[in-house]
Amino acid sequence: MITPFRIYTLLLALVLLWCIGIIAAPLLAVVELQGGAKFLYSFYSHVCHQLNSRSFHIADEKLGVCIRCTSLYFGFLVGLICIAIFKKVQSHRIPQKRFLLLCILLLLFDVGFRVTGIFAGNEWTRIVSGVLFGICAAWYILPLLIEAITQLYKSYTNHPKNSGNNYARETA
Amino acid sequence: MLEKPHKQRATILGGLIIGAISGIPGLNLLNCCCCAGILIGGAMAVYFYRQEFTDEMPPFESSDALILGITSGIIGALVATLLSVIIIFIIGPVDTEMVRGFIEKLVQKLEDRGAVPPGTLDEMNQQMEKAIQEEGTIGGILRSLVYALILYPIFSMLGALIGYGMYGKKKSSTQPPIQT
Repeated sequence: MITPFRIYTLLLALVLLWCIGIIAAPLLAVVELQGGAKFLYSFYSHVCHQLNSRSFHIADEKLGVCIRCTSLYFGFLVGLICIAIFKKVQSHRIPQKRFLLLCILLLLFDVGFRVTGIFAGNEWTRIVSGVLFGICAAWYILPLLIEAITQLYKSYTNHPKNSGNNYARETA
Repeated sequence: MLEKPHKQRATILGGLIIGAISGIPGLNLLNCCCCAGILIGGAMAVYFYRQEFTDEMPPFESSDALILGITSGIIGALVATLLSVIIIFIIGPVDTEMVRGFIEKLVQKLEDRGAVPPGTLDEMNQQMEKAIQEEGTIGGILRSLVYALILYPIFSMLGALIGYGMYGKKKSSTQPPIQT
């Protein structure tokens, strides 16, 4: 049986694994497990530019993704944890659109101002804009994801082809 | 009551957007910002699908957005890989050099403005050299395809859910997420 809490736990585990991978890349390089480090850097290179000058470092080795991406993914993780603490996981409430729009605009301004040379920004602008968007995205996406998976599960179990399986499961 | 519209058109359009953004050199720099191009593609698939709904149809649900996002991501991964292969093998090094020249000029301008720190151009050149060497082999192409088939559906799904939350809902028969 699929419950909101199970979906939440699975998502939290996957996001945690993703964030551990970001930190594991430099750690593996430090302990000279080059194969593992190379794999992780290669994997994350598909989602980030990984520029040395734009990344946090552990023992002179850069993290798997840049500062902005690190902030965003860890912000998402923090957002998921906060949901469990400050509101019910099964709650269908999502924040108003304007909060998400504001976070997207902050992120766009930070990138846009830097590219156009209006304001170069610094690590803090990247961290703040990334973390805010990550947290907001978690609060926004989780209720919709739970609703979507529950709908899919219901339509699967209510399908005539699968009604036999249901009966077998219920009688077992 | 009418049935829901077919998802093929929206899925293919979303997949093509993802594929084009991710596969065309220069444009794929958009994905450097947390896969923004893929998120946009997923959200656009939802937008196109939403356009096909009429009042007589059942409501557009978040599960539709989820499926749209995942399938658009899969199509996008295939299209992006195909585009990369075409660019590398058919159009060849001429195009690669042209794109490299364009990106070098862009990064040089950013360096001059102080938007990126000095040395970024050299670092980007090294990364591009490495990427071209890796992507030119069959193994490199297959590896890229596998990574893309894992990553694109995930990010596209997230983009589709964000898109659904932004403009997807019209009316709902089940318990909807309430905006506070």
